[in-house]
Amino acid sequence: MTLQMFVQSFINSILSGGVLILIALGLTIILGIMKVVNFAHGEFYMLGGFGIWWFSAEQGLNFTLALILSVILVGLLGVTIERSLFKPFREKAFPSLIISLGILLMLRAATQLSFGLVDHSVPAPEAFKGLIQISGAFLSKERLIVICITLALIIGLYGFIKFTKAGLAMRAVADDLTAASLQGMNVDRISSLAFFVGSVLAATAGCLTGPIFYVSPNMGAEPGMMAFVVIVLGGIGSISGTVIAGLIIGFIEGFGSIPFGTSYATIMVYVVLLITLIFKPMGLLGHAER
Amino acid sequence: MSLLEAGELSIRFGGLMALDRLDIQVEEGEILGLIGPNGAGKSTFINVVSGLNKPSTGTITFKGENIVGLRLDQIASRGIIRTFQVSNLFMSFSVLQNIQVGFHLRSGIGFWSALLGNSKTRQQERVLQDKAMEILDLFKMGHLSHEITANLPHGHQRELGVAMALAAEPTLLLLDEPVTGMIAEETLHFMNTVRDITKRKKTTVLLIEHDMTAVMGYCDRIVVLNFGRKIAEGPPEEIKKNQEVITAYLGEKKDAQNPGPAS
Amino acid sequence: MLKDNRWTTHIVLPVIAALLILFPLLTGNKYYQRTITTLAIAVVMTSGFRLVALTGQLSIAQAAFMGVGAYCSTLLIMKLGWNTWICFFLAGFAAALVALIVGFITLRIKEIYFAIATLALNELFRLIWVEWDTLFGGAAGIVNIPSPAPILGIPLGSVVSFYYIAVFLLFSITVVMVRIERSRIGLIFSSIREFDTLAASLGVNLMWEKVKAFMIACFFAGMAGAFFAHLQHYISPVDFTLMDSVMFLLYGVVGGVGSVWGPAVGCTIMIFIPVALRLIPNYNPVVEPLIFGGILILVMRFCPDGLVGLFQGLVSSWKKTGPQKGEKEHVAA
Repeated sequence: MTLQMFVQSFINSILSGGVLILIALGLTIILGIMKVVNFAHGEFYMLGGFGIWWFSAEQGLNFTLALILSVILVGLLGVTIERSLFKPFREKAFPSLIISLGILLMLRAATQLSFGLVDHSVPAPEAFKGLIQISGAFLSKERLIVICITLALIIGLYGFIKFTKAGLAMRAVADDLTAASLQGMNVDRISSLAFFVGSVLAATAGCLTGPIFYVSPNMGAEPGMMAFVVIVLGGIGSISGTVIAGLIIGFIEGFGSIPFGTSYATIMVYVVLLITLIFKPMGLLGHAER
Repeated sequence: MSLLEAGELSIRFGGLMALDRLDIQVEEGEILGLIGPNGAGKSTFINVVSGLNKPSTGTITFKGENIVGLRLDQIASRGIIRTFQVSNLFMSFSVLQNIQVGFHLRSGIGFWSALLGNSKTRQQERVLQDKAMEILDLFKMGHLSHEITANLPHGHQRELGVAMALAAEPTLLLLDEPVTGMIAEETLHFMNTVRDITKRKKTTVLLIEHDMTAVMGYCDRIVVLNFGRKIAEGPPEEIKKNQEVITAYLGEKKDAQNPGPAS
Repeated sequence: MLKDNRWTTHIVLPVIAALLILFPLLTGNKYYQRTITTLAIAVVMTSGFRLVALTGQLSIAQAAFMGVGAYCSTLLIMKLGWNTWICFFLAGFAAALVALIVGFITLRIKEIYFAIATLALNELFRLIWVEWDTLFGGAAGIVNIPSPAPILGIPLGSVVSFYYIAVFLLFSITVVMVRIERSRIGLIFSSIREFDTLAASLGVNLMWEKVKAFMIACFFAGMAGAFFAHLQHYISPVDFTLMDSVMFLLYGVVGGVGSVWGPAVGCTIMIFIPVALRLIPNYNPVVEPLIFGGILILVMRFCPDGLVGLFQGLVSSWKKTGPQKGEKEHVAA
């Protein structure tokens, strides 16, 4: 492997890992706080991508504005779904899981009906265009910018959960929903907030990768699935675990796909997951059951 | 050698020492009362012995075998069966079915014979059914055998929880506040029944109770806990007079207005 | 569960069995026979999903186990020339073996690791089948799978012969399901779903019981897969996707996990719906997932015990006026 290839793979690994982490963080927050297993989470990523495509390519808005609009709309959709469909199934992992499968089917089919089963391309903003040369490797500015934004968001979320009042409330609810509601915390509002943050993060990931890849109704399937692999590998409920697992998977995909091809890299990810679960049934940083 | 020996048992939840270097021996055939104010660590002790919680430090041996680190079902299969304080039943099952689950370790019906359901298995199933009715009759619940458990009155639910544990024919039965919420008459009848059965089957009993008057008359020996430590141990008459025990309960009475011991 | 009236299994079941056996004699219509064959396979698969659900677990990989059986039997027959009927059972054992391994890794702990792992498993198998093309034929799959070997000199391969094999498979799993529910096995499975800690404290080995249920379910899924391969004479990774697994879940939930009849009712209705919809002119099949998703949400929201559960609830509330609470058994509640 030449140095050039190494740098390229490294950047690709960070990119796909970062995107996965963005999706998985929302998932783990929702799962931790509401004990709701949302298999439709990948669809928020897809809708984010469609949002930015529709606002920028179809409506001609500038990229930043399109991103903000798309992300907020998906966030609101997330809250609506939480309020109307998931609310009765809080703390009930399996009924909520079945509900989420229904939502997944509906969102995917609705998108396909509205926009067709074709790939749409999102025009990249000027700032994204061009290449940067690092130690002989040409890297698109686009990828570097996306990586920077992703890292900023992950750090921001970490700070939000660790240091703000709302974040503290979230952790309290995640620890014990009943106790938290007895202490007068508004569990409804915290759940909605968690769902808003989760869907916004996934949608942001969809917006950011929109110009790099294409946008299509099935684009949420694979990242959605991988996000689950990430949180199980990292340990459900652990934010640091999610970040670490996301990077591990990103690197397996980034470096594994060059010699073996993408599918083998994905198979390798699953094998790593299974082997990890043999030795650490609760994931890398998962807590033992109470 | 005692039947169950807990040595230097400690468990920490956050900053709180729920059990603090506790030594407890349970002798074969006795009814040992474990009493103490709320939060004294009584239930935690049962949780640790039954395998629900892992102790931070310390040892537990049962018939000389170390049982720390075993799963709940492994400990149960060695003959230690516990009851739960709240939500102690399979609520959507019938009363009879609850007892039938209790037979799990003793049914003697293997997977394949249960699946094939030949005449020998059916015979065994009938015997189990009769045994279940026998147990229910002892608690005067025979007529309720097909009732859905959730529809039972509270007192019967508590009794059923214990009946189910007895169905497993334990060597050591751990009862976690079995008479909570029962009125005095119910308590009397219930405790008499439990004593009769366990004495007849030579089952050793560890009885946890918050209200010590309710059970004092049934225990051969009593251990008193407070803040995870053993503060007294001895026959009931001795415990009644123990100054430290009275202080522990009175102190709590002032704070939480819980029923203290009748002097 | 556990309280289907005895007459349903002693009278209704034999009657349905007799009707299914006589059906081809009453009508020679190949289309109906083929439809019932497909339906029977779906019921076998959904019953497997239901069996796992009895222990309080959700398996979203039943289609993958069907695929394991299909590929296993097909390869043994076509590459090694083994007898089709031996391979039929080996397919079941292969799927059960995979279930054993996966179960031991993911069923040790509570929560939802198993559900997520099965989901990932389906995708893992699909990738293996696609990528390892020298063995599994890649995305194009395997073609020209022969019909099963003759039994007692009777050649098999006609629509009717497949119909009878499917009906036989359906009976086998139904009998097993009924036996499980009537015996201690089902009681113990349900006790895990109802309250696992209590079951464990009475000596139930939670993981092993869950693994058992999963293995039985996958054994039948594997056999169904082997049969499916013969039926189609062609298999490819698209036959055993995650979506197919989700469909088995949908059938199970719609019919109701609480009763032996749930899978049959769920499959019949849910397979009939798209057939009926296609009669609409200018019908766009893309709306099907939309409809299925909507049905899944509505059923979970308004009758979580499925249609059979709803029906039983109505019947028992007509029969007596006493309180009915506690009779409900939610999916993996």
